[in-house]
Amino acid sequence: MTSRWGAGALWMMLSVLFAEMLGALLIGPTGIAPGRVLSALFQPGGHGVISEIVWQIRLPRVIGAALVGAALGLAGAIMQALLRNPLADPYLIGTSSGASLGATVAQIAAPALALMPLGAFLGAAGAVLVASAATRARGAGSVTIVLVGYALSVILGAVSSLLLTFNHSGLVAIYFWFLGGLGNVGWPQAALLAAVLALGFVLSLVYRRELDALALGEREAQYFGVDVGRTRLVLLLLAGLVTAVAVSAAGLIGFVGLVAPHVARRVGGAQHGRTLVLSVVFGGAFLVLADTVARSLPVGEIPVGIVTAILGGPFFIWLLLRRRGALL
Amino acid sequence: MSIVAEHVHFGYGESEVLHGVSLAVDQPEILALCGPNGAGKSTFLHLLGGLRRPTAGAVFLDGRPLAQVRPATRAARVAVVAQSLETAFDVTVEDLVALGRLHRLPLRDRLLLQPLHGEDRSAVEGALDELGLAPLRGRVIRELSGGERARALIAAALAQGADHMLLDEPTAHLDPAYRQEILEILRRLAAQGKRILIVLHDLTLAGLYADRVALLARGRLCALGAVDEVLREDVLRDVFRSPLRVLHHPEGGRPVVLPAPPGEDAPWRA
Repeated sequence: MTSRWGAGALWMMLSVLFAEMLGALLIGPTGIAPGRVLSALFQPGGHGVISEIVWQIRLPRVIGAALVGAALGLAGAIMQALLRNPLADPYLIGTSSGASLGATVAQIAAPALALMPLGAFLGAAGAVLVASAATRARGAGSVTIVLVGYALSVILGAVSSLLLTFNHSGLVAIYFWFLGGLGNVGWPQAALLAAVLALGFVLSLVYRRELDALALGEREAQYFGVDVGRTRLVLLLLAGLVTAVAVSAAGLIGFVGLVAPHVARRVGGAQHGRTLVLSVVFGGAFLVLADTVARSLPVGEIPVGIVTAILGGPFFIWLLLRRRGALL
Repeated sequence: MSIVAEHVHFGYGESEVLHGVSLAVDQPEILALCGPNGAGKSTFLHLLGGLRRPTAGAVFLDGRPLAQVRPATRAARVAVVAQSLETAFDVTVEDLVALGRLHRLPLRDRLLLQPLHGEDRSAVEGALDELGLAPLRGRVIRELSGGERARALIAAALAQGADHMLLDEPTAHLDPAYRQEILEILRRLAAQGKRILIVLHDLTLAGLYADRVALLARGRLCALGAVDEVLREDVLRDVFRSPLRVLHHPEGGRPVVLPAPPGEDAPWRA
């Protein structure tokens, strides 16, 4: 039987998240004394370099990290339920390669305009739409969706490689963008993320029992009166939209969307009312921690995707090894 | 209250599985649907449950074409019980049974994230009690025995509050004691007014527990009637193309179906 800490765990995770965010605000390459950071923080309209650093650089980045992590956690929880697959992540249905292709095209076509975020969003959204269209095909089950997503990833990846073969100029920028980073998150990105995340969070909570039913299987969901085709489409588009916005803001950050739902279920059980909330909070906390580590290493800042992979990878392996039958 | 199939046909691509089957599930009773492997029993059950659409003919729920009934409305009237359930996550017995109420969850409760309450709560509790699952409510489905799992699936269907229950071989993987337990439960539910259709491979169990038996073979309904009329050697020989023996139970006289002795040939088997 699963241990269930329920509400207690939620408050604990939330406290950890806020503590991390506060801690992350105090850390930075300029080495400002904590007291001065805090006093700048509580004077929003203040002037001077410190206020500028706290309000325009550190705060949006920390909030951005929490929002991106939360978005990936939410999308991961939805995808794992929809695909009945504990190894699913937000990128599974071609989102990541769609985003990569979009970013690549944007960078090659107009390197000066810094359109990679927009390109990534359009690419990811396009891939989600194609994968969603596949779910409307007659009798398409979750395995079909995974396979269509896989095929789509391969195709889009090949197109990206083809473009890069003939245009070496964008390689470095694209390479670092692939690895993800929160350095470009300012207030506008954070606001957009917050709005989309709020929409996705509320709607998926409204559908939380449908997610419970779909996680049992499409047939079972049908038995219980779920309009499987429509519900699955809505949730897939929702997860795709949330992922596309996150990818556009911060590039491809792995493992957060995979790991968060697992932690959520370990702590709160399999009901999606809890899984969604805990995934969001854990995803946020995980990425704030990873981003803080990524930018405070003695060697200088490294892409946050490397940190989440190094922290999340061992967890993933442990997960695979402790998995008992019954799955897939 | 009835589910009626009228001349339903169904096919996968080129090959047709059902060739015009008509059957009504309209009485508080156990109606057993039996027949050889590949006869189309499960397919027919899915058509009755509205999970597939017939390629020709129609299924009616209380006189209304089932194809026009919304999934949630259908789930309020017809509960379908699968043979088994494999869960990817640690779903508990109570989680599963609570899903039986999904079809009637109002928007207000969804938005307010209300836990189940009132009538819904009592339907779930009632179903858990009816199937003796209250002590197992917090157990994870995949850690249950086959018999407990079958009971949990029936409890979820019961929580739906539907008048019709369609069960697809719920006893297939169970030992004799569990099989009998499941059928005892169904008999009790039929006595409470449920209209039950159950796909059964075990003809003896059908003979002991069903009120009526329908025999489906090669996509057609070959026989339908009271147990004694249908479970007869001549009827079964035609349907199963195999020499079966029908005896009568020493207690009550219901038909008991046995295989022929070893070595007896079945020249008519295709």
